[in-house]
Amino acid sequence: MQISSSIFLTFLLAVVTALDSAKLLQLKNKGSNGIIKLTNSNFQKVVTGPRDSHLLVMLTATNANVGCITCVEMQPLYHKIAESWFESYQDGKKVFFAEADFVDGQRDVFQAYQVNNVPKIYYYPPTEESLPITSGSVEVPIAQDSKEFVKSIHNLIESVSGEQFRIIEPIQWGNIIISILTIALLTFVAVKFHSFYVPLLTSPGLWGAVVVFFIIIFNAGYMFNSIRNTPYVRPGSEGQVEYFMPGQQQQLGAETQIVSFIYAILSFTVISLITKVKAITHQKVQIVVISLLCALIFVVFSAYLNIFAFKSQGYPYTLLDIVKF
Amino acid sequence: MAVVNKTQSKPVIPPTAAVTGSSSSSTNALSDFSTSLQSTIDSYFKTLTPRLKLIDIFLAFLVVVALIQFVFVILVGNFPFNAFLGGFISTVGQFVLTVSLRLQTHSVKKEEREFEITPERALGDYVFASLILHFIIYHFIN
Amino acid sequence: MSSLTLSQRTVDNIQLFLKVTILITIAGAAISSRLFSVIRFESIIHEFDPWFNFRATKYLVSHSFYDFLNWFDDRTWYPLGRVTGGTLYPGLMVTSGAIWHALRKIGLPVDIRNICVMLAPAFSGVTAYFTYLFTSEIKDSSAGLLAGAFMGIAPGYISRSVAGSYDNEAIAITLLMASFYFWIKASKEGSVFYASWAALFYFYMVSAWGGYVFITNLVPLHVFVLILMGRYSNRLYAAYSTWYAIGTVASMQIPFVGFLPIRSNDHMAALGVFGLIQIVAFGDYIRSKVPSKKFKSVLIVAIFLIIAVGILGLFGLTYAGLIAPWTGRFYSLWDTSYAKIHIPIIASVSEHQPTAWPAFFFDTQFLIWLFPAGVYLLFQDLSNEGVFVIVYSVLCSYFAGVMVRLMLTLTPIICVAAAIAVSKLFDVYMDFSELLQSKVEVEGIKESTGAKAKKTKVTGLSIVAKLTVIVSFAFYLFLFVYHCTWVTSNAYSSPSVVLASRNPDGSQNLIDDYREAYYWLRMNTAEDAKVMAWWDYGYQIGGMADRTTLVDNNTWNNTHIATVGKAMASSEEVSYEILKEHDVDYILVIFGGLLGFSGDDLNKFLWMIRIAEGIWPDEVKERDFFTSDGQYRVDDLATDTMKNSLLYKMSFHRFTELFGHRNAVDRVRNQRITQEPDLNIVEEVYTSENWLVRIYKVKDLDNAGRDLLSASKFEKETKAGIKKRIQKRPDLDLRE
Repeated sequence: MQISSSIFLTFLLAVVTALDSAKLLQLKNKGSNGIIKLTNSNFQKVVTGPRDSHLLVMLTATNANVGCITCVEMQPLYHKIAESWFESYQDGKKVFFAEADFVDGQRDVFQAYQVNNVPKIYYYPPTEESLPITSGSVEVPIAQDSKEFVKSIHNLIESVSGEQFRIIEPIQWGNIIISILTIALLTFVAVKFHSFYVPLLTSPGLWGAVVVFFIIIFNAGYMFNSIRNTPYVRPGSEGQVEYFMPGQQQQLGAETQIVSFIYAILSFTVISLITKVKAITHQKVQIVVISLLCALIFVVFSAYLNIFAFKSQGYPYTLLDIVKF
Repeated sequence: MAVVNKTQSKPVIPPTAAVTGSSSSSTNALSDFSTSLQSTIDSYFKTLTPRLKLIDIFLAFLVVVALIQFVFVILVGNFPFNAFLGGFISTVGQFVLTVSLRLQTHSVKKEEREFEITPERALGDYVFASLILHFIIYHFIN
Repeated sequence: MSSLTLSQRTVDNIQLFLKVTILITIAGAAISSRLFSVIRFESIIHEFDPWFNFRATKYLVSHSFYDFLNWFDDRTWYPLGRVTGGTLYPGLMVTSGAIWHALRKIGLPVDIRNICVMLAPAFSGVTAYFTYLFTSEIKDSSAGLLAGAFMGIAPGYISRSVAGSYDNEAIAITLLMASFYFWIKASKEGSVFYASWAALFYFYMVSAWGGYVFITNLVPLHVFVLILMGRYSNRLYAAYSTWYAIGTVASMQIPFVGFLPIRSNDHMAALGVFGLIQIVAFGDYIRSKVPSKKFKSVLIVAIFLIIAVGILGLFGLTYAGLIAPWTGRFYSLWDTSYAKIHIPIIASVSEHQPTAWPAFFFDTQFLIWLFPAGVYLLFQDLSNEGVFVIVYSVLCSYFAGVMVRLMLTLTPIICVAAAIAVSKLFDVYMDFSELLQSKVEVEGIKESTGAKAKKTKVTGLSIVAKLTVIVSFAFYLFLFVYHCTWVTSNAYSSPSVVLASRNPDGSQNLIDDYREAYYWLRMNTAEDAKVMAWWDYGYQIGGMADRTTLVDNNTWNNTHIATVGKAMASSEEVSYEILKEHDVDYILVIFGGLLGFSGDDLNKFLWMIRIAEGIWPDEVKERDFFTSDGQYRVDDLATDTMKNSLLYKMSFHRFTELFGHRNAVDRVRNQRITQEPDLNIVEEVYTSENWLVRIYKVKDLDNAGRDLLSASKFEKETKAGIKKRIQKRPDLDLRE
């Protein structure tokens, strides 16, 4: 009842004030980027008609907690197309762009469309009568690739309006200014603290440490964690905390840390054996140190093999049983 | 493409570099630069031997050929693209090979010989690499 | 020199003899450790891609080289076909073709299949040799021998080069090491000669594997880092300019690469560094003429300006669309979420998955913790070649972490760095020259080390300390050998065309269903029959059954693959239209439910759905295949969409019958199947021994003009028991 009366009301309203392109232009100019913002109050009027212009409507949700990556990606492209269009045709040439973002809280819009996933784009041809919101439109398929997306919308507009236009890439003044400022600042810092960092930058020891650090964490599966978003630890069957997960193809966040620590110990011990031990002059001390280092390698390597054997069942070559699972 | 062109027209670099000097620092650097440029040219002519002269004329010739091709492509269009590319790369390739030969045979720093090869060996290498280069180019152009 | 009585000449000769012996032994070990699968199964091509390479090689040896380059293959990607000659890397096929011809010339006619099977092991021996040369350039020949030995048996490389794994990588790693060796040699000596060889091997590499981009970027990066470090020299100029000029023009000879080297972003770093080095060389020339300190600042400013202009130009050109943007597969290396969102087909390939840490250890054993030590040791008295190893290590560690397949390019440098660490260790602890004892330990390393007489000062280490270290590391080396053998024989020697299982009594049971089924196809179907299967099996069907396929492992046309996915995932009526549109005669499905083989089509089903959904989001929806609580089920609780999908029906057709209509359990998914699916549009024509492969024939349109559903219903009701004979349609012959 309520709906039908509201449709009736809009219809009345529409008859009185048929939405012509001048009105839409006005609405468009309210926004900053050539887009008509659909709100709870105006969307019926804009969308249902009668209307002498073509209309594209994009439903999107750019808030982070919705987690719609495509929305975030496609929205600026849509804006870019709209801006390019108005750049070519100031008066809109009877093509207008509207948008409703879930962020803005205009729930009625989304309810009226009854969408359960976004982004969606609808195309409304000009109409002489008032049509219900869902039936007066054609859904435009959204291409996965951003280039394809722009191309498809571009083609659609050109074919319905019969006018040619070029997509204009907006110049990101903000970005340019920020980069210039950053470079200026960096140059200033570079000149100012010259004497401080030059010895650091040219020190092979520091570079060696940094390089070895990166190699170790990459080899310990750091990239796996960052791509798969693995949990750090997991609860075991009896409620205890588990740091290791069986299976060669999977790992936990803690494993990377433990394994890179093991690699670091082993590598450091080998490096010490090669470079440092020679410097010890006292024969007895030397023997003791060397034996200790060898023992350290043996023990740590055994522990490491235990962990590996736990992860890959049936691995036969372990040394001492140091870590028990 | 633009980058290649820049390197190709290497002898023309000093003017651009001079602009850099003037824009980035005081006129002092500029005068420094022009004097150093002058002394470079002087010493270049002082050390010029007939053999070097031959190499350098060849280098200049290659640059000119490459420029002509480039201008031709800009004016006429690059229809047989691999033909242009083949021609252009062959001049660039020959250029860098010749420069390498020049560096190898006439080490600038007399006190420390950078290359441990005899000029004869260098010439042999040069011929070998040039043959490979032009064989491939020949195949490329069909 | 330890041996007082021997002259220098004799020592050199002994050294040479020992080196040659050791290298031959290494090559022997490398080759023989790759033969497990030949001994256990037979001389057979493995897996999927190798089957295509094998088929292409057969085409090459039976046709001329030019036919091969212009080969349009109408037996794949039906009805589109594939311009095979222009879309493959011909290096591998040409190599084995050349070997085949050469052997025939000297009177040894060998079957081309055997050449293909043995190519990878043979090249692994060559790889070990080049690794030896490469490492010798970086440290000395003792490190080189160790690195060669490591490389020969490291599982990370074996994984792609066992006998029968006839893939591009089989020769690509050899070429990678060869290119790097010549590059190092060239940059060290500034030799145009070696640089030309580096360029020629680079060309060979480009012709063999898409991973050549790795060299294209690593060598310029090396040069760039050296320039940044202020280590520019005219030798570097001669080496790099020559390499780039010849290498680039050579790489453009491969049809598949074409003009990419001057257009795509992947190659721009090389071009940029080429420009940079010209400018730096010019600046260096001027500086040598004008020893003025002030000139330096002008030079630096000029360099920065040029870099800025270069970067701007690069952006500008990309922006204007002149340079192709990063190609998808390599883009996924940088932005790891890109591929997941945009290209499900890339995410679906297991080789594009990130690497968990056990894989690193599995593939290199204790070398993995010697690797950082070796890299660190290179920083002490840092040489230009050392910079190369360091850059390679960091870059490749990152890439290998992102993508499991790139373990392969990381393995060589792990071997090299670890060999440097071990050999430095032995340099310190295995110097028995004071004792004048000839203690032959660990493959003659002592000899070469001793001969080099690297160390000038006597370290004064006690013999006990030395023995402790040597014995423990010799023990680790033995453990490494055992590990490698174990891994190779257990994990990397399965042809995956033939599966092995153990019977309860411990005896081995070979499951040869694939070949059985492909052979059936070859013998019992028309020569121009079109077989639809998921793309994984495309190459094998083409290679073994010699039948036309719709999609294969080349995955160049996503839409076509999605079509197959849609046909599998849709209901019978929808599928039937697709099948008829594409003239499909047979459908091949892999079903592991009886055997417990987890890599079957039902487990790959989600990828089929996802890829199809990417193209037809309205018709195929992943959500519909999951139960309301988000589970992937195939039993009674499965959703209707699942139960109605063609693949589901084909997988479980007559499955319950096998168990006498009760207790039918899918052993992969551990779920009980009770209902017999109702299958109408296709009929079962073949099921292999272990039900692994099932082949269905698509029914023809009904003679009486009924739709197939009602027709089969009618037949079931009348229980005529007479199999409907299906008239063979004369298919359009597309070949030639």
